[in-house]
This record gives sequence, structure tokens and C-alpha cells, in this order.
Amino acid sequence: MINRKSLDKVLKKVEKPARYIGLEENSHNKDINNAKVKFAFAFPDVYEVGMSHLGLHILYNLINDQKDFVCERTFAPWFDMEDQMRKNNIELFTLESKEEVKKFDILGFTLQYELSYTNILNMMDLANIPIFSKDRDETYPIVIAGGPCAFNPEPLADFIDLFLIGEGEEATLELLELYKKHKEKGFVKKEFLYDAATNVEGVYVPAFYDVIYNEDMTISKRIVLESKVPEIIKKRRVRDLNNMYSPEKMIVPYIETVHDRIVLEIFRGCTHGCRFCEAGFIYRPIREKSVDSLINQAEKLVESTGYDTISLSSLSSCDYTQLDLLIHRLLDKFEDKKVGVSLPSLRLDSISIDILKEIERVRKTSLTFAPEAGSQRLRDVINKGVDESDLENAMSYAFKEGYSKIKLYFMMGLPTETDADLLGIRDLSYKVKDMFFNRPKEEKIGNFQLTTSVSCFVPKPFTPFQWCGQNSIEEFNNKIDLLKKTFKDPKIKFNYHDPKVSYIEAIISRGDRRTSKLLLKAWEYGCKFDGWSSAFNFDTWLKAIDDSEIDPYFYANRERDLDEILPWDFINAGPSKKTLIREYKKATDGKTTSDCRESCNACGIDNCEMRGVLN
Amino acid sequence: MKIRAKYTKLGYLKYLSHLDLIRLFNRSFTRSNIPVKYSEGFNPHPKLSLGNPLPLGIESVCEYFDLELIEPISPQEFKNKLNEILPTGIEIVESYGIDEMTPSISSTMCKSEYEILVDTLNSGDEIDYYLEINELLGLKNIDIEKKKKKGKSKITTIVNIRPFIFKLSVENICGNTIRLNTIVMTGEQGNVKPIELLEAINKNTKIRLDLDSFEAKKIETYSQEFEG
Ligand code: SF4
Repeated sequence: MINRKSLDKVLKKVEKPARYIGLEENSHNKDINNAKVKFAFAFPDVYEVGMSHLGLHILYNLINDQKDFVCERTFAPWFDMEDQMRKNNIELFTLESKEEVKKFDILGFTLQYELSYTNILNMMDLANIPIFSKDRDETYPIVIAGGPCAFNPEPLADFIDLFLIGEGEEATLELLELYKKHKEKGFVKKEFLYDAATNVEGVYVPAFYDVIYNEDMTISKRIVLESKVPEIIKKRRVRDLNNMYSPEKMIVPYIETVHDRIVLEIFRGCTHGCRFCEAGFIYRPIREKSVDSLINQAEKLVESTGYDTISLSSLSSCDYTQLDLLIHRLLDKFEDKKVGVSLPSLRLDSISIDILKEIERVRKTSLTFAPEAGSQRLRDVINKGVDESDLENAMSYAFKEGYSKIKLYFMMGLPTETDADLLGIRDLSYKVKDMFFNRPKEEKIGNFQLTTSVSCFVPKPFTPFQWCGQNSIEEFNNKIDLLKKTFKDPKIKFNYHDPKVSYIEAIISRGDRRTSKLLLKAWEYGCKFDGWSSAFNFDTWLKAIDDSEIDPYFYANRERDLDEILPWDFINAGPSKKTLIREYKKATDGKTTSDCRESCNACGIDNCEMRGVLN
Repeated sequence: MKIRAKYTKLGYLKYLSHLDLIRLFNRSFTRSNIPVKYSEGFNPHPKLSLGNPLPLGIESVCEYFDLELIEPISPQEFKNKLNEILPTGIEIVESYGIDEMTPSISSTMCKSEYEILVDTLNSGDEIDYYLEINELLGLKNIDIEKKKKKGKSKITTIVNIRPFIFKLSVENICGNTIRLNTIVMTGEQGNVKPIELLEAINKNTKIRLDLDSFEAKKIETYSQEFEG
């Protein structure tokens, strides 16, 4: 255990000390010394961000419900805290037992966004754990990682001992059981890793593989170094969500977090097939929870947390088959407790609008819509199934109901994009504004404010755009200039993301094993919290790129050949590569693909739960 | 019905901010099915009022809140139900019904007694702590700098805190740790934080305290009439 007196001293000096104290409602109070396997769950960002992540709550409760295991949390300490910890020789510790992370059996990082990778290295360093997998013997924890970004594990291959690809509920317990077995008979790191790699589906141990490169830097082939280790790693997916573990408790942070509410996961997967969206491909197929089990779970969560809002969470919550029924039953059930329901994402269609009427009973705040691209042509390319009439309908409803603050989200740098598409962003924004002001006088309620936000497109693995080059920073800047000039109305606020940040994200997200050098250098030079604009330092990243001798163009901006071996090809994420190629070709032809609820598009998922259910 | 509750704030929970505490209480009311009265309006919230905020990082055994209820509940039941839900460190120690005639929390607890433990950097018996403190109290002016947020900028003002100190004494000295007891004003008219008192000691006497090491606990509150 860390020195409590030093901790107390340090906590008096830092901003938001409650980030580091634990003891929240529903955090566990097991005796960690009785546990057979001690798991430290590490979220490589600050507490408030990490605590808003549903996966943390699921795994935390799942593990702690087991008698033999204990799971404790650790987060990236903010700058002031890190500084104090280093000065006072306080190692990275877990919030529950204030135990050094180094003393745990397993240290598990969740990979939610690439720009948190430098924090992973920094946290290992703060924990006094060697950063490279090869330098850690049995005296250190096994370092594992999972989450959406683990679908391309290669940039972290040198640092992480074992990756879990796909949904973690079942695989984590299998892994912990296996660990227990090995611990009982005398733990040998390599034996454990080998056993896991060969017996637990979804496990990837980078050390058991090697990669050979061509002269042009592309991959020539992957070599399996140990017998029986699988060549292709198949992602894990939970087949029956109703019988899957779902937490009846959530830790309730004392300090305000990004989402202070119950997060009720209503389904996994998404059927829209937007071609830029990695989650839409890697979490296929769609699997719903039943209304009954959701009501049941909600009841327990309301009781155990005292939260006043239930957020219905998924990739696209309006798609839930029985959404109306679910919302009505929830509202009825909790009426006297003043518990409301919220939907984090809305689609531009009539169903969403009717539902909105139900749940937003009192407060008229802002509404957010994401057409993603400014022209119908480009929306077809990315397979975003909304058109201008959807937007018009949604807006006229919103204005009628008294909403006057609207947010529109777009991307720039999408494949095949032209200036005309970009100007479409402006046209749509002005159209929304005109719609508001063209209403009869008595219906112009509130103070109109439109925010149009444009982010820079980052091509992601396992999407049909995985072969595309990202726009250069210069191209992005030109596009921003073009747009900026056309937005002249004080009622419309034009926001854009920093292309420099998206550029670094693009290098890492489609990186390979050689990209680890860049991460190491960037961390050594002091990069951390790169997802925070206040902390992101592009010049340092440029120096790290130079000194690690990687070619950023090769990773971010280069157009790949369809037959090139991609760094993540050895992972079977569900949809086949053939499907991705087909979708890529359809995109270039501007052809859309329909939602696979209507008819199966044969994307290559084995034993798809959807197929046959609705058809 | 209106109820007043006296509660503690101990252990690591001394790091909860005023706002965190309000949120914790509100959630706990929901969870323990207490018939709370909600405010009207767009965003209804329980009619709860807390006293002056306790400085972050300081423990207390005597904090108060008032809460309005829509139907009566016995103070005993109120206390038991809440204590079942509240985390260790925050405990209702007393609760009772109040009415319009009851003086407000801020007037009943505008003076606070603190117990402070702090390490000294002076070596051996180089100085007489009792004498030094007495001399400090003999001063007419003990000026400290107070930083205030005004909009976005911070402004510094000089405040004489001597009139707000009603008691300051050295209780005992154990090794290099000094135990102090003090009663100071903690209200609208004047507000002295333990750390400010320690800073004033360092500035105005020969005593050199290690400010990083201090631990304070509020042990009693007094009303305006109390003279010390
Ligand atoms: S197999 Fe068919 S139904 Fe299942 S996710 Fe793929 S396209 Fe959709």
C-alpha cells in the first residue's frame, strides 16, 4: 500500500482531489489480500472521462462478483497529480485499496482512442513497470489490453503482453480462471501466455508472431513463431445479450463526470453500415436486449445509484425495435421518483421525433444532428442514409417544439470529396437558419443559434475506407479556409477540429509494429493527454516522428492497394475483407447499401444472430 | 415539514467539494425513499440547503443541512434511513424538526472550533510556542492576502483577520507535531480558514510550520452570540 500520509499531503495540493480517493457508492470493499487473482483496470485518461465509460462498469462488477477475483481501478493522474506523485515517490495506485498497481497480477488497459496511447506508457512508468513487454518478467503484472482500438493492436505490440479482441465479458473471466490455474501451479509468464493464446478465443499475444516487410515498407508476410498459435485471431462476441452478465450496480462518482446518469445498454452492433464508422463494422451483428430484462435492470440500477436519468445507450438507439414500449414503461415505472429517460443519439427521421416528444417533457435544450456530409452525393458515398427532407422534417418539428439551439455535425476530407460537397455544408446550415426565420412570427420561439461543427476524417481499420489516404494538413486547412469564408452569419457558429490532431490519430490508428517507436519517442519527449487540446503538442509529435524515422505519409496519407497486406488483416472482426472491398467499390461508384435489417447483405459473419431472425 | 440534520465529513471524504456533497445527498434521498420536496420549474431539485462550505481537505463532526419534506417523517427514521445509504465518513449524527422561527444554519454556525495538527520545522526547544502564539494574539492587525475570483480574473485583497480569531492555543507538542485549538469566524461577516491561520503564524512569529503537513478537524460550531 502506498504511504497514506504522503497521499494525504499530496491531495491537499491538487485540483479535484476526489479524483483519486475512490470510496464511491457501489465501489467494492473486498479484502484484496484474500483474492486469488488481482486485476487492475486501467483507463488511460483522467477519472471523469474513464468513469463515464460503460465498459468499465461492466467489467468491474463482473470481476468483483466472483469470489476469487478482485478488480480495482486506476486512471491517468492529471498533470498536477503526476508531478506531486513523482516528487513524493508515490507509485501509480488503485483507488480502492490504495495499492501499488505493480503488486497486481494483471494490469488491463482499455483502448478507447488512439490519442490515449502515450498515457498508457506514462502510467506504466508511473507504476514503475518496464514499458516493453520483453523487459517484464514474472515479478511484474501481465499487461493486457482490450476495447475498440485493440482491433488494430500492432502499434502497441511491443508494450502489451496480451490483447483481447472483441467483447470482453466472457473472455475476461476465462482469462482470469486460466491465470488462477497457472498461479496455483507456479506462474511462468511465457507458459501462461501460450496457454491463453492457444486456448482462449480472441486472445492475441504479439510475441508469438513476427512480421516481415517489403522494401517499399509494406508487409510481406506474418510468421507464427510458436506451434498451434492461431494464425487468424477471431474477435469475441457475446451471442445472447439477455443472458449475458449485466451490472445491477454502477459506481457513482462524487465529482461531476461526463455523464452523470445510468447507462442502460439496449443493444450492441449497428445495421446502418455507414462506411466511415469502425464501430458499425466491428460490433456486428446487432443484438438486442429484451424490454423485460432492460426494465428489470433499470429498476435495480435506479435503486442502487439514485441517479435521476437513464440514458439508453447503443450505437444508434432509435433503432431499438420496441423503443416506444421501452420508453413508456420506463417513464411509467419511475414517474414518482422523477427519473427521466434520455437518448444520446438521434436520427433524422420521424420515429426519433415522436420519441423526443415523449421524453423531453420539460426542458428545451439544444438538439444535435449529424448529416456528416454536405451533399446527397457524398452522403451516398459514405452510406449515411439520410437526405435533406429528413433534416427539414426534423428541423420544422424542433422549431415548432421550441428548440432554438441546433448543432450540426459534419466531416471533411471524406473520400471523393469536392469543393461542391464542402459548400453543401454551408448551404445546409443556411437552410436551417432560413427555416427558422421563415416561420410565422409567433412560432419563432427562443434565440436562434446554430453551431456547425466539422471534424477531419480519419480513415479507420475494418471500414471500407481503410485503404484511403487521409487529406494532408494543408488540404484540410484549405478546406477550412474555404468554409470559414462562407460562414458570415452571426447566428451560425462555425467550429472545426484541429487537423494536426487528426493527422496524429490517423498515423496511429492504421499503424503497424514500427509505429511503436513513434509512441515511445513521443512519450519520452513528454506527450500525454493528447486528446486534450490544452495538452496536445504538435511540435513535439513532429520531433518524435523525425527521430523515430517513420514516414508519416506512409501511414496517414497514402492510398493503399486493395491487395496489400494490412497490419490488422490477421484479425477476423466479423465482416469479411471481401465485404469491405465490395463496399469500397460501391462507395466510389456512389452506390448505397441498405440497412441489413431489411435484407441480409451477406457481410461474412458466421452464424449471424440477425440473419433468419428478421427474414 | 422541515428537518435539520447534523452530519460528519471524515476520512478521505473530506476531499468532497460542496457541490459533490449536495449531489451525494440528493441521490441518497432518492435511494432511501425520503419524501423530499422538489423545487418548481424546468429542472426540479430537492429543497436542500447547506451551511457555509467547509474548506476542501478538512474533516468535521459538525456540519449541518436543512431539508424540506412533503410529508412528515420522524427525525429518527430520517437519520436511520439515510445512514444506511451514506458512505462511511458521512454520517447523520442528529436530526430534528425545525420551523420558521429556527435560526438559519449560517447564523448558528458562524463560528467554528478547529483542532489542528501540524509539524514544525523549528528544531528542539529553540522557541517557546506558547509565548509566540500569545504575542501573535496581542497584535492588533494580522493581515493576510485573500484571493477572490471576480469573473475570470483573480484579485487579491488584504484582510485583517485578528478580529475574527476568538481563540488560538497550543494544546500540546509531541515530537515535532504541534496540536492547536482555535475558534474563528466562518461566516459572511468574516471567514478564516485553518491554512490562513497557519500562514499567519509563519509570517508573524518565529514559529516555522510545515504547511504541507497540516491536518484539521472542525469539532464544534457556535452562534454569533458566542464570545470565545
Ligand atoms: S450477416 Fe447479414 S444480417 Fe448479419 S450483420 Fe452481416 S449483413 Fe447484417
